[in-house]
Amino acid sequence: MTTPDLPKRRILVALRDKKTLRTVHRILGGTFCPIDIVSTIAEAEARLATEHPYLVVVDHELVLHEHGRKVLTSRAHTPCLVLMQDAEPTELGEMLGVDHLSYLLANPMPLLAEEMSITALKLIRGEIWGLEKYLAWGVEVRTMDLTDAAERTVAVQALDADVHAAGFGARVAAQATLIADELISNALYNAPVDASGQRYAADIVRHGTRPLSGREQVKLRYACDARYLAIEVTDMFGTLDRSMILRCLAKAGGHMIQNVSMNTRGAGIGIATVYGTCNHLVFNLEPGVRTEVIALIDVRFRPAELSNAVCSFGVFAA
Amino acid sequence: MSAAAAKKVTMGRVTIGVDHKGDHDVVSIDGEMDDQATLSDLVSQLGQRVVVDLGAVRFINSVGVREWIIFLRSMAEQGAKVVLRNCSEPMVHQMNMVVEARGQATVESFYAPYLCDSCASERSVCLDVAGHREQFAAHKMPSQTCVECGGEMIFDDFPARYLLFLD
Repeated sequence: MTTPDLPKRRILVALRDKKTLRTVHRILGGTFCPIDIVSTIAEAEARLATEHPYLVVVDHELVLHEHGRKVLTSRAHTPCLVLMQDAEPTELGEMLGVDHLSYLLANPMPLLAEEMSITALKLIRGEIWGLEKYLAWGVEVRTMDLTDAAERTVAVQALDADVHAAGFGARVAAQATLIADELISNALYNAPVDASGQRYAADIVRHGTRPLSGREQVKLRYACDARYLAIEVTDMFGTLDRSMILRCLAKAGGHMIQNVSMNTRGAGIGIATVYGTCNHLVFNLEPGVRTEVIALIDVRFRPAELSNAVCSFGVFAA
Repeated sequence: MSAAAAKKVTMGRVTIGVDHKGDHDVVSIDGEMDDQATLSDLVSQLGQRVVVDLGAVRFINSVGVREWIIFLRSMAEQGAKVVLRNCSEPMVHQMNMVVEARGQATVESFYAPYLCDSCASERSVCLDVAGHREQFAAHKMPSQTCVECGGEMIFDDFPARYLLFLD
């Protein structure tokens, strides 16, 4: 008999609510990582002082608590996954001001279980790329490589046609096309930088033809497994970083985007718009090499059934 | 005096009609609003009372929203009263997300998503604000009957979140 090769990375779960704590324990138990569970800030502090968990899972109240924030900041290099169920939209802005925040899960069960399990496994295994991780096995993935900026409209129209053909209504199609349009625009006009780091495409007119060569080419992928409609856009510049992402998401705090840019070619609210339009937004970053953004739209539940005021996000670094 | 004939102009993927109807102008927007929809060019053609029909706006991205905000600001600066009629779901989505996208305009009517509890068909229903003002203030949505099966249709979103733009 061979012994299975179990991962040895520890996970610390610090949640005040006992029921949530047990639920989270069972979800993360599937990773077969050793899991330590605590329910107070003091217990979490004691654990963090003596142990080195690979991942910390906390509730948002703990993060917003002054001492809790200090405890987590002292271990800022440890990935911190924050649960934000039943939170008010206004609390999101404060959460986004927490420097070390990279993973926020706001959806209720059963989405929570899927999102948490996938987030933890991506971190533990160090395998972050691809929308397939969020979908059921064997799902058909559509891929479009854009070789001209004018193909943005064609790609978005193809997505629209596919979403309608898959039986979804106008609302899901509207969500999907808005997300794809904004992410492709971001990849076409905000991502490209020259050797000196200047964003040379930011002021280019955003319609009409512009051939895309080499790393300027943008990839759109999408798929649906009847749980999620996943839309993925990749650029090969890798200019988006975590602090920039958090600033962009903060604009969507409480579903009320402010600070529309009037003096630039773009409106400066594209990422905030995507965040306000999907259920879960994932950024996979490899600085200077590529940025992959995945937006997930839950197609199982009605918005009122999910009843979450804010949406989940994750920022993963290669 | 008879009203002048409606004029239509196409800007990229959107067609904009302007119809001068005596004491007010009706602007109808049909299509997909992006950076090519420079609505501010219209302002000089419009009077002090303007109704904007948004029922055929199928798509509006962040740059389209910025153009829309510029249009509303320009109208406000020239003291015009703007009424928004038949706000489509994509428009409502943006007005709920982007603070300035409603501007100082008055919303006359808007589309809302409904789902049939019996046969799962979806329908976008146009709701008149004046006729439901008290209900909307209480975050209640009027019931609807499914045209396919006669079943009850339920509002398919959070009332509190969907009606934010009316506040």
